[in-house]
Amino acid sequence: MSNALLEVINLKVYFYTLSGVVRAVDDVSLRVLPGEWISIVGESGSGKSTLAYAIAKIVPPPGKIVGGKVGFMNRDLMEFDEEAMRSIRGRHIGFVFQDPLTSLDPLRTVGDQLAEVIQVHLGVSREEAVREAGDLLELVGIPRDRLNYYPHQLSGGQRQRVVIAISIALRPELLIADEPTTALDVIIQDQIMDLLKEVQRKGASIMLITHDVALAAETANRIAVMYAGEIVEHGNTHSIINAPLHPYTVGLVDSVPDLWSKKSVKSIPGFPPDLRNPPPGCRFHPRCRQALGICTNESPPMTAIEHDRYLACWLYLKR
Amino acid sequence: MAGLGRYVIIRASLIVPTVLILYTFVFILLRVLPGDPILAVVGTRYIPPAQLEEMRRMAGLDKPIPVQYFDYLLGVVLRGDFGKTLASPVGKPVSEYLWERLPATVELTIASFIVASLIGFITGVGGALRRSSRLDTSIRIYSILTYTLFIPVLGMGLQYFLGLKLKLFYISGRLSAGIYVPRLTGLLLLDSLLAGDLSAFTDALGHIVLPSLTLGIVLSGAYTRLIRNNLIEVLNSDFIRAYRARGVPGHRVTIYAIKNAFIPVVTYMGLQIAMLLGGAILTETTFSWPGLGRFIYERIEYRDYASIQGAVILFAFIVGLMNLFVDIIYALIDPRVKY
Ligand SMILES: Nc1ncnc2c1ncn2[C@@H]1O[C@H](COP(=O)(O)OP(=O)(O)OP(=O)(O)O)[C@@H](O)[C@H]1O
Ligand SMILES: [Mg+2]
Repeated sequence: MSNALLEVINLKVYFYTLSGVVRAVDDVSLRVLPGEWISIVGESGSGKSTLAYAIAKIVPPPGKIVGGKVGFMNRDLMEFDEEAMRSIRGRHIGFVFQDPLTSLDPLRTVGDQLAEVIQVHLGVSREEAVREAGDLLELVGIPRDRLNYYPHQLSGGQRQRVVIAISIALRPELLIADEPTTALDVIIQDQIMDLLKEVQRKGASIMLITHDVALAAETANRIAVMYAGEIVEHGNTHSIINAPLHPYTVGLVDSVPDLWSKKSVKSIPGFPPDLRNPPPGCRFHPRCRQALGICTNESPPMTAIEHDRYLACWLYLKR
Repeated sequence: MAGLGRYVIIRASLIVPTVLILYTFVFILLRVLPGDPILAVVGTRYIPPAQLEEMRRMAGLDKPIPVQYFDYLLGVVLRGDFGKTLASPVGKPVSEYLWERLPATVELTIASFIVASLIGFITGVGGALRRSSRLDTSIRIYSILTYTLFIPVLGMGLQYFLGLKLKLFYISGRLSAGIYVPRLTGLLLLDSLLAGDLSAFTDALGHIVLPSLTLGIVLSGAYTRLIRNNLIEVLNSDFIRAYRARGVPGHRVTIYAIKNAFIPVVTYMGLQIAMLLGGAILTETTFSWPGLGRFIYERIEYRDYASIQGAVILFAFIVGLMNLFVDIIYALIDPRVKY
């Protein structure tokens, strides 16, 4: 038993496609404490969303969880059947997806969708669920008369607020937000981030998934950096941003436009590998300027280099 | 509701181009096709040229073609006059035939529609929910096969096996000799029920099964494919995943997915004009079904311009009405439709 809310251990999620096995999440371990904010950063295709789906066991076919363990609230979710998982999803783990334009059912009013999740989990009466739904809308800053609106009658920002309202309706212990602001303009982005902070302030843990390092760092207690299906570095926000060690993290942090120093933005040369056939050794070595001989054939183990600071890079191991 | 009224009027006005296009098409087709209505009636008999000219003048065929085009159209629109038959029995108002034949076609079309949607729904949903299974593969093969089916061949196959061999259903006509159903709507299934005549109802049902099955099967393949592909797409969509991530029970999620998958299908139902027209002619001919389609077929032999044009105009009008009906349903189920 640990004091962690979520404990992911050696998780492996593969997609069995016709053109090969995509190792989207490969041996990922991660821990989330109650009430903390963890941001997961990485390029497109690094397996962030797949990791999130796997935690709730909603990986779409042809994907399969092929190894590892997900511990949540001191229970082993791998042992839960579909029915038991249903009582976790929405109730204890809330989800906010990237595109608010598409994550609501276009044929049903937001009130119906909001009330439904309350009814499904609490079995309360319809009137009570609707009343609660109205309260939730107001909580996220939308007038309650919008209950009768269809999603297309709301703006993108309002829809994302509705999605958040649904995801926090049952006060889940963990809220996973997968690129919740990517589809929105900057001002709305800030408002949505404020809303998430508010959710955290009320006691929930937040897992924010993003490819935007600046956004990831904004409010996170900790940051995990994902590359090609693996977590390469993991630690508290301050140390990851100010003293990144893994060359990939260094590249990511350098790629953020810095308003103060006005130094030019560097991007990491090259492309992430094809996850059907990742390079041997460290998956980053073909793009790494500091690669050593060992990097090309042996995968660096994830190692605790200081308290709560994990790294998988040969440059800092065995040296 | 005022909005809906306006929407209905706008949609209803779309019937006009539908009718015009089809009328123009057959009008030209009839003039381009070899053969002549007067000679077709006359056959091998000898008629003096002067008398032929006289017949031609009576039928209005001596007028310039554009005049013929507008004369007929205006007659229909202004006076409800669909012209007179050129072939035997000569000079009967076409509208009498149309009035007599119309309900048969409407009844067959509705029945075929029901058959096609039922088959399409069951196979499409089944295939999508059991994607890539052996069931799904068979369903996909079925839907492709229906495209290659020729109505008379399928019709005769069904007539042979279900009709002649197993003697389950009648193979031609709408009603057995000696059975009478008082005409209210002209739809025999409905009228016999309204008259409380169960044996007439059973008889009518026994007649409509094979033709509606034939036309229904041929139309169903398109529905199968459409429903299957839409449902697969919807099942992979973000909001379905979001429903799952909220812990909404699977059977509910499936129902929401089916509703969403159905919307494009409803639009498609309105687009089957050509299939229905061609299908009705072939089906009605195969099963001696006394509807508009068979009427067109009978009259083509005689190049009976007025009869064919009238039947096509009426057919286009009915199809337009069905489209309108579908559009209204569409507007009522999809909140995104603005009206
Ligand atoms: N349904 C699927 N079938 C096959 N491969 C998939 C599927 N979903 C994801 N993948 C593959 O898994 C890998 C990880 O994808 P994932 O969506 O988790 O990445 P991500 O980090 O969330 O990217 P993004 O920032 O673009 O959302 C990718 O290589 C992707 O091609
Ligand atoms: Mg993603």
